[in-house]
This record gives sequence, C-alpha cells and structure tokens, in this order.
Amino acid sequence: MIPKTTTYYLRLAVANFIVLTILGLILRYIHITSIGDINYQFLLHAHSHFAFAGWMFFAIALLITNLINKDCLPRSFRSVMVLTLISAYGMLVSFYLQGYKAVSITFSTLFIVVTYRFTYLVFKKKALRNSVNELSFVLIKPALIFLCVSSIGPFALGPLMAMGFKNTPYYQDAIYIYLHFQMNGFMLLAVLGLFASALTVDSLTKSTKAWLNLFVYSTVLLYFIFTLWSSPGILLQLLAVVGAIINLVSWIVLCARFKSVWSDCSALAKAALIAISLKVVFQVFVCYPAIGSWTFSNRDLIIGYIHLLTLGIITPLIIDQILRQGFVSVWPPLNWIYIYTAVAYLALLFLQPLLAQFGISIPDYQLWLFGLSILFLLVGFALLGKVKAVHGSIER
Amino acid sequence: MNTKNLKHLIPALIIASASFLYACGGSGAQTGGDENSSASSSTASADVDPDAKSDSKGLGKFTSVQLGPIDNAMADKGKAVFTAKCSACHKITTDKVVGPGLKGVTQRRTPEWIMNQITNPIEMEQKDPVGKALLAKHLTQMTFQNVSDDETRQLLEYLRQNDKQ
Repeated sequence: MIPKTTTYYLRLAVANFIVLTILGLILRYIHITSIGDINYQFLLHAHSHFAFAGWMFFAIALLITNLINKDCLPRSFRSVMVLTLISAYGMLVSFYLQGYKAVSITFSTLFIVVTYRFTYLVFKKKALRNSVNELSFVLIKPALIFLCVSSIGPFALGPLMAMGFKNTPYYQDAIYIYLHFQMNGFMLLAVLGLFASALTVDSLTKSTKAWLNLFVYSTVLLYFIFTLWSSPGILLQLLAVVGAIINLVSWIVLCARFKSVWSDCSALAKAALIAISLKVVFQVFVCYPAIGSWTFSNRDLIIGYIHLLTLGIITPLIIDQILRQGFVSVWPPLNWIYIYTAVAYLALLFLQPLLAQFGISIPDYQLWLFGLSILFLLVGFALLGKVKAVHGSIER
Repeated sequence: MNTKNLKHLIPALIIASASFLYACGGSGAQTGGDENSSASSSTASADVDPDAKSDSKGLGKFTSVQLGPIDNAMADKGKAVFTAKCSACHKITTDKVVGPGLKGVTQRRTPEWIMNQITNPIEMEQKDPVGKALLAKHLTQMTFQNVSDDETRQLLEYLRQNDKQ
C-alpha cells in the first residue's frame, strides 16, 4: 500500500497542476480581454518556472521516490519535496512581482540545488538500481544526469552578462541549455523511465541496449537544434542534423523492438508515445534552414512545441503513472477528456501558423485557446477529486 | 537489426548529413556572421520615448506610402492577417501583451515606419532610434512573420480602421 505521506504529496502535485493551469488560463485570458495592470511577461515567467518546478519536477520526483521507497517516505526525500514546493511557490510569486531579479534568482538557485540533492539521493546506495527494471534504469539514470547538466545554462548567465555578452546569441543559447536539458533531457527520459518501470520486459539484449543509448545520448546533439535560430554556421548545423537523425532512427528501432508493449498501454500512454514520434520527426524538419527560420520566428509554433512536450508527452505520462502506481482508480472518461483537450489545443497552435501561410485565419482563435485551457483545469480538479478518494479510504 | 549493422549506420548517417549540409550550409554561415556583428554593435538607447509621436520613416523598403480614405475591404483582409500572424504578441487595444498594444499606432508613427517595422523588424530594432527604444522597453525582439508586401499594406489599413473607431 502507498504510504500516506506519499499520497499527501501527490495531492499537492495535482493541486500544483491546477495552480499552473490557472496561470495559463490568465495568460490566455489576457489575449481576449483587458484585465488591468497585469504584466504579461512576468506572469509568463511565473507560469513557466512554476511548471518546471511545481508540477513536472515535483510529480516526477515523487513518482520516482515512490518506486524506490514503497513502504515509507524517508525524511531525506520528504525534505526534497518540501524544498521543491518552497522554491516553486517562491518563483511563482517573485517572478510575477518583479520578473528576473534578485529574489526570483535566489529561488531558482534553490531549485537547482534541490535537483542536485534529489539526484544524489536516487543514486546513493544504488537505491534506484535495486528498485526498478533494467529498461527503466537505463532511462532514469541519464534523465537525472541531464537534470544536473541543465543547470550549466543558468550558471553561465552571470558570467556571460558580466563579460558583455547579454545582447549576443550566446546568452540566449545558455538559456536554451537549461530548457533543452530540462525538457528533452530530464523530463522526457524520466517519464519514459517511469512508464518502463510498470512494464514486464526481459533483460535487454546488447543491441537493444546500444539503440537505447543512441536514443538517450543523441539528446546531447539535439541541443544544437536550439542554437540554429541565429544561423551559427555549418558545424553546429551538422551536429544538430546528426543528432536529429540518430534520435529518429533509434526511436523507430526501439518502437519496433518494444511493439509487444503497445497492447498493454493505456490510452494516455499511447497518445504520449505518438506525440514523441511527432516530436522526433519535427526535429529533423526543423534542421532544414527554410523550415527552421520559419519555426523560430513564429511564437505560436514555439509555444506549440513546448506544449507538445509538456502537455502532449510529459503530463499524460505523469498522469498515466499516477494511475499505474495506484494513487487513483482508473476512470476512463478522465483520460479521454484529457487526450481530446490536449490534441485540440496543440492542433490549434500548430495549424494556425500553417494556415497563415495560405492567408487563412481561424475564427475566434484566441477564444478557442482560452476555452480549451478551461478543460485542462477541469481535468486537474477531477484528478484531485480521485486522489482524495483513495487517500480517504486509507485513513478509514 | 543487430550491432554489426549499427556499426555501419553511424558513419553512414554522418556522411548523409554532411552532404545534406554541404548543400545548404553556405548561406546559413553567412547570415550567422551578419547577425553577430549587428547584435554586438547595438547599444540600447533610452533617449527616445517610444510612446511619443515620431516622424521617422524607419529603415526598409517602404519609403513613400500614399494613403487614401480607409478601404474597409482591405482592412478586413488585414484583420485576417493580424489574427494569423500578429495576435500571439499584439492586441489592437492599448494593452501590452508581449509587444505593445497597437491602438493609436497610426497616429504615433508614419505609414512607412509601420510597414518597415512589420517587414524589417530586426534591422529596425537594431538601428532605428524609435525601434531601439521599443526593444529596450519591451525586451523581446520582434520577428518577421513572412508577411507579403500586399499583406503588410492590408495590415496598415486594418490599423488605420482600428484607430478611426
């Protein structure tokens, strides 16, 4: 049975998802109407930083913790969860009030230190290795390494600014180190690892392991896609293309090798796996300069890409894990409402920029995006209600 | 596929992507150099008030735009372009989202400046005094959205109609 404290923190994770959705809803609301003196960009910072710490890291870390500690939530892991909450809400408030300044930088730094501490705890005494199957370990281990690597980005910002590089592509590229290694590195591989932990798979053959490693470590080369916006020259472009192609080929091979798993997948997991396939294909297209420059200059496409990762891949796999690990009893309508909402939301973000090439604009575009955001909020409340029910029955 | 195939695959991939890049990398490298030099030569100027009226025509291909009475059909086309390509960052009220609210923009700026900012935003925000002040205020570089010259004119008409109301 799941420890009571773990269930308690899982409720907090879902509550954070609701808070995150409300922030997104306000951002969308600003597009359709006027609501006084809200600084859109400060709120956007609050939304994105809270998403990384308060929802995705918090939920993923808790689910990994629950694999390692099935009987109780040790104090060391509990302190990680509490400090994550403090840094997440600290960032939420400080980014909203003052943008990227001393207080928000302090909370961001605290968050980075907490991620180091979590990584240490997971590897200490081979805690993870002894708790999960080989496939899961081969994915979660590099995920945590990339989690630590991502912090190179923010730590480089100070020196870059001091050396007068603030207005150069290097400064942006440092920010992208963080974004890329957080999302494509840590989050994506960790949720895949969590997904794998629930599968019954034989021990990996040598060649399967080699393909897995190609898929995992091509992530390093994929970073260079994020530098292509400033046309940095042929070497980086070459590295990006090689990364994108290795990533695509290894993903296809892995899909073929593990195809027997498909029939056991929930609808949520299937949707997420399809979304990964789309992402892996898009990466190759973006390396083509004409498509790349169009993509990088189009805000809806960038927002679409980020949400393809977060709402299309990471969040559904987190919810799938919440169900699989037994925090919530399966309730199929919830899965379907989530899938339809995410597909419609992402389709709008990708379709409008495409249609714009033919001079077509979707009527009430911003209104539709706002309306769909409300559905994400409903999913959050439904999920919270379900977790509560399980928690209640444990106490009785 | 087995590991033996795998060994051959990697060099094959590298060669394939190298030839792909040889075909299209040259022009990319050139633009890279361009952008670096213009970025480092830019200095933020706060002397210009970005909200004040300016007679600047800006920098770009539009040097002289003749205006007639507002053409509502053209403005309607402009509205469609606006929704598709501008509304992620701009509103037509006075509210700022990512970029400034556009109500009154046709009174603050010349038609040429507006059309140059739409079609040539990067140079405008690096070199034009008003453009530089706008970048300093809003902190986000505007990007060209593949707007044709005709569409740019339609957008101007839409903004003029918006300011008449």
